[in-house]
Amino acid sequence: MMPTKVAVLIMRGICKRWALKDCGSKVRKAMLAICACFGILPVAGARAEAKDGDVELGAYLSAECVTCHQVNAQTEEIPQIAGLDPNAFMAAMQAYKAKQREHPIMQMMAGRLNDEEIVALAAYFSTLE
Amino acid sequence: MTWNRRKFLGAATGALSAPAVLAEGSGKPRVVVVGGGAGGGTVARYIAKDSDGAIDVTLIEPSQVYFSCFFSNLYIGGLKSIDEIGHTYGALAANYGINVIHDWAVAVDRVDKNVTLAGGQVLPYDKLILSPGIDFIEGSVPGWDLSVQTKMPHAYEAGSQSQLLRAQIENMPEGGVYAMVAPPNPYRCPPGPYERISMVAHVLKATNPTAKIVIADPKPKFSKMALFEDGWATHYPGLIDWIGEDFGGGDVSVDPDQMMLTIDGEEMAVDVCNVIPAMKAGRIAELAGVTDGRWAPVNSADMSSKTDPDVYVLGDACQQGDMPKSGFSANSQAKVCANAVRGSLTGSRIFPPRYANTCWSLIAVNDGVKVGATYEATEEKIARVDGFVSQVGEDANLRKTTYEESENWYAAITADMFH
Repeated sequence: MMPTKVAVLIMRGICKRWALKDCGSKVRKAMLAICACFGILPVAGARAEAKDGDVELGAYLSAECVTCHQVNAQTEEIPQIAGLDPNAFMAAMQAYKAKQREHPIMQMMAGRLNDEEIVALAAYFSTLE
Repeated sequence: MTWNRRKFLGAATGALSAPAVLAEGSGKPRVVVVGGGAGGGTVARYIAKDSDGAIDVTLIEPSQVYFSCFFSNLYIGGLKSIDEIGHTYGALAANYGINVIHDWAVAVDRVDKNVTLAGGQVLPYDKLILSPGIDFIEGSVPGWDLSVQTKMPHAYEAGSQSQLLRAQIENMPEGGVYAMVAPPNPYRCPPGPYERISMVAHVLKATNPTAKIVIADPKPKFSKMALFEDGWATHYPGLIDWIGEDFGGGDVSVDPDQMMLTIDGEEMAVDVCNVIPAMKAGRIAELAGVTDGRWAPVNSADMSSKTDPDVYVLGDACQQGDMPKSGFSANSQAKVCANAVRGSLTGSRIFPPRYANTCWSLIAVNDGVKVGATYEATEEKIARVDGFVSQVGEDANLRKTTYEESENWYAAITADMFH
């Protein structure tokens, strides 16, 4: 193997790992940009399930969410969803659906989402910064 | 029968196989939206945003500033400024290229498919979406019509009417009487009159504690009744007298010149008379010929009119089934409609409809309650699936959180409509 190819593979491994880590948005954005240069999609690990989601379906379903959750603003009682870790998002929705997490509106809204729809939403929201 | 994924894939396939309708001129399909409120603003924004320029969207709205009916009671209660409930249309034009025309739509030609404006302009459409809100039924409260709304305001279309009612309440004589004539079902914002009573009581308790509030109501019960009655007894004991249908609350007439209200044959002098008449769909729905009685029946799958598949009716003006007439409902219906209209015009995917509503009400400062439900499209109507309502006796922290949540919701839904 040529030394340059080895270097590229090493760089890919490093960038992919850091791009998926919870290491602050600036670092993560930089790593995502480097990933893009190397043609890497950082969809392993935390985004493994969300990557399978139907983003277009998620976008349609998300219209219900944004009636209360602002896309680009954090408010005191209603959190911003965009940019949430997909696994954390899916876990929260499953917990509301199972009524293990309190909130009547969220229990009701999550209660009618099937697994495919939850993954689709996670996939869509993970595309937003 | 309920709509399921298979049926909607079928509908989507049909849409894909049908040629998209192209308007003359721009070469793009044209959507005209009449009414710039929770239904109209949302549907215009979503079609323009999601079609990314593939559809020409025109929004016709006479007002330069939209004052939301939701939260207008908080303005009357002194908890919000009028500017906080006012919204403009500039971002819809700037961000999404929507052609916003401030004029009245005065006629619809469903054969030639165009809308005529009061200014004389004729706008062709491929799809027409009507979201005109409500009009009042003249004569539903004997003695009241729009010519006396300055003496006896309805304040059920927010803005100058809200400002007038608030000024009248502030100028009531000591120990005076505020009366409300409540509307019969169905009407815009079912808890709205009772939230208003709460906010008026909040003002009078602080500024005019010997004043009285009388409600003449043609209904035997009302939305969130147990919650409001419990809250009124807690926060405003002895201040509010609700006269329901059983005690003649539906037998009412008014004399605006004398400021007299007659309930079940008994006359009373009042200082403020807030008349909220019976309601019907905004006039343009009737002019378009899509109403049946007071409202415009629609198909639950996509909010299309039962009279014309190229006309859609959203929000308060439509007759759809179980959803209450609310800003939240209109916003929810608009998103289903936008997806269906865009799909039929461009071949984009059409997803199964899903509807939801939540109504928050404020009983006193930091004492918020809510009711909500999800809905599905059946062949017959939009039918309720699941729901919840706040409970009597909830602790103060939960009520405060509920109010703060409603403020967050207000910021989100108005952004969803206008930004």
